Amino acid sequence: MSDAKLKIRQHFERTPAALLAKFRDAASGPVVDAMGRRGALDISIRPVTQNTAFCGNALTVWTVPRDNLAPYAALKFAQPGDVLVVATAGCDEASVLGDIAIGMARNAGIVAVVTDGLVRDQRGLDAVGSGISPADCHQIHRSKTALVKPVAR
Amino acid sequence: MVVVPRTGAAQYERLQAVLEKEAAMEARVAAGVTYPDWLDGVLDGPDIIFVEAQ
Repeated sequence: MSDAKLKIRQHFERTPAALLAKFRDAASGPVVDAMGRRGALDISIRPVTQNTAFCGNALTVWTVPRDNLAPYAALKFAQPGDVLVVATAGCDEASVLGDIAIGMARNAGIVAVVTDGLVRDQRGLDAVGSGISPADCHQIHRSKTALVKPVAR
Repeated sequence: MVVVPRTGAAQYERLQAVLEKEAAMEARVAAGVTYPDWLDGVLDGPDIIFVEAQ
């Protein structure tokens, strides 16, 4: 068994921008229908900031409670337009991201952050303006809408 | 909501240290950094494995 703190897939194929652009203005409901009614996030995933519409390649991260190393590491390998998706197995004991990490994500060109964990610093998040969801994202993995898994535990 | 002990002087001192650290980080974010300074040192360490996409 590996003692590694992180496994990182730093290179992965992203959806071409031209194809991604075709989805940008599509409502989520018809997209779900087009995928055989799969791919919708759990109802408990809700935005905590004003920006509720976004579209991008999923930069997925698996982390554990009380450890934000993996999400921070993902920031280094993000590309503009990515959506940072952080799975925590639904940890509700401590936040996984706050306004500082999400501010750095914004600086890296990440268009939104989605997590099944908790986020903190609401006032700071409002200033950052990313779309953030503090709820369950297990369906992201089950539905295989996550395109890649570049950073993994 | 946070519960602080009635005798919270020590906690308040620690809070000041936390706020100072946060203010420094917020300044770094405002300057445009995309990841924390300490990350490169961690990623260069032996506990990080880089793999290619499957």
